[in-house]
Amino acid sequence: MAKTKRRRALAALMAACLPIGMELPSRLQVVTSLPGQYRWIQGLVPLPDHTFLILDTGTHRSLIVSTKGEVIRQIGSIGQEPGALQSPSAISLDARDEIVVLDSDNYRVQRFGRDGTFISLFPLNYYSESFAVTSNGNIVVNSPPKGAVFSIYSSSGQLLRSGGAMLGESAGYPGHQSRQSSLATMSRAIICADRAGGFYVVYTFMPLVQRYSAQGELLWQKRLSGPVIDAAAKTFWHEPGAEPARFLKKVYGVQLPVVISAAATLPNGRLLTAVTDGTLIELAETGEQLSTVAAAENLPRAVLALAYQDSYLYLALSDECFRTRDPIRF
Amino acid sequence: MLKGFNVRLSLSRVLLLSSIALLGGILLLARSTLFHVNDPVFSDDQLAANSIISIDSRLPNTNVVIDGKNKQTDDLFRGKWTMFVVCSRLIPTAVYHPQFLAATWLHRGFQYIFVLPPNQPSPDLIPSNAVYTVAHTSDGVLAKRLHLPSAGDYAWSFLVDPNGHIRFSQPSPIRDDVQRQLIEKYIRGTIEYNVSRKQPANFVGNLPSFAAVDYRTGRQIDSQELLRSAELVMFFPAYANQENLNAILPRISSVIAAHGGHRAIVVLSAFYVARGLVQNGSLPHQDQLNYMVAKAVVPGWEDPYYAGADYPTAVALSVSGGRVTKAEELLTWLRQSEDAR
Repeated sequence: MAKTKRRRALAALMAACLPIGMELPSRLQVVTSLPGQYRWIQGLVPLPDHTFLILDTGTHRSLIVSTKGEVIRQIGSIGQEPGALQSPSAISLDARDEIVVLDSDNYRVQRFGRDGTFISLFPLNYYSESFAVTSNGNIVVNSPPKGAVFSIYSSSGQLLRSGGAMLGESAGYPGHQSRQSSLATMSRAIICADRAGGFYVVYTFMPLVQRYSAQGELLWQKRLSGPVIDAAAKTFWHEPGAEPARFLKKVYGVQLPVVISAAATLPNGRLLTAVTDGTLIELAETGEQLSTVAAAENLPRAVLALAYQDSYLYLALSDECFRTRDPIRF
Repeated sequence: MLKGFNVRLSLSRVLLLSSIALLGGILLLARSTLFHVNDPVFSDDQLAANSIISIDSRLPNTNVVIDGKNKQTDDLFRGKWTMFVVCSRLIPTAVYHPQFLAATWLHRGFQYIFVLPPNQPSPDLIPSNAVYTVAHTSDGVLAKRLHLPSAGDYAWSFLVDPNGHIRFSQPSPIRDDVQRQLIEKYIRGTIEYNVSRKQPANFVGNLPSFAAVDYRTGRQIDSQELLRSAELVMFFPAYANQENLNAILPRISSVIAAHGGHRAIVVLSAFYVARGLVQNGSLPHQDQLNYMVAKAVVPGWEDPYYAGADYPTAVALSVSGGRVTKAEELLTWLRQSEDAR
């Protein structure tokens, strides 16, 4: 116990000593972490007590685990009754310290206590794979089946508003025509809460990021750029010489190459996105594209979840987790 | 007069309000005691939006025909856990996992029932030793009762408990691994999360412990004895039907003959093919192949703890000195062996 405390103190000291401006390395170096039997991790949330909340879509449950991978608690299991989950794909901790789960195949949002007890649920009546709980307690759900990029719900599940124009291919790939039939697909996005009660929208199949206010007003829109993005775009459009897709997602019966596979808001409010080849791109709160971190050589698959805890960046890749070898300061 | 009118008006109001209250009560009672379907009229916060019918409710009792006999679904469900799939047609890959689940959980009172329109499916999809049940019903009867469309391709899935109450439902096929986890959760009470994805590679070295019965002599042997007496061990999965075996066994026999008569053992799955073939005594090439019938699920190969849609494949194990030196999919081994001749 004392050893763990000393190690944490040392890590904090090391992180504090990192020079400002050297927050992210040019190439990611990672080691395996949070060992365990997982099937398909889609959510990774750092908890205040230095444990992690892992959402394992493949086993239809969430686990609270220590950094050594010891399972402290299981939340949910397969099923449809209140408290049961079916292919949950996003998880968050709200300001009340309650665990909120997007129960995707049951088309609903559920709330649990930290001890795993079921508290409440509200139905969505549509399928979604991403949501975020904002700092003011609202729940923002990616909602293309509703004809909007996002829908904002109160913490009790009351629909406050839907918004975000459904975007086609032309928004993320200049020179390409948007097709009406693909709007619902192209509007699939990862939602991340910002520090001001608003949220980021990170598109799955396009290198496009937006930021919205708490009221759902568009603040800015940024198209990611750089050689990695160009390569991902070539893959998406099956252009000659394109790299094979690393992560395909089936949407409405069609398999499409994912461009951005994960995103997370950093403690400093910036947004970190993971391109499917494992490259990380950092964006300022103003939308300015900051550093690009080359993919770690030992990451075999696309990153599906990102989290920052105790000066380390954690990455989940379907059935295993990694963390940065060295501390990173944000 | 005016006073009397007021009195009559009040009485009519009271009657009206009472009628509304009574009607509301009846509706509430109906809603809580009868089934309710997931449409806007009946939706509530406790119902998973992607389900058909709420948990703890009952399917409407329906007449189905099994082997030419009329049965009531209420009678079929009584005392058994049932996976009840109402679908427009069956395809070969759709019946493997039900066969496997039904065989695995038969001893715990589990049954798998497909309900199809008349004249579906083609008879070759229902082998005589099928563990799942195929029932037929007049087109659209259940669809009408459940407010579901019955045109085109459809498959509605229900997990029904021994009291006839719904535990899970969805208007589409339930993925194999979801079925596995549901059945483990509700029937056994615990879900196995530590599933292996590495077959057939996980056989290299030693075989997991299992027992098999010699087809000819009826003698029971264990997996260690099996390894000591063979140079080649082949596993045939439950879904390999007699036609598959008849097509592949002559090729295997030729390869074995070309290799100077390897001591080869074929291990047949404990359910499906094995029962039928053992009963009718038609296993071919018995001069070259020693047939064993597994006594139960073979761990690491066809146990339910494999990943998702990765069905157990036919496996060929090369054995030397009582240890497995190489494990390959049977067809890969066969092609390579044929090429090497």
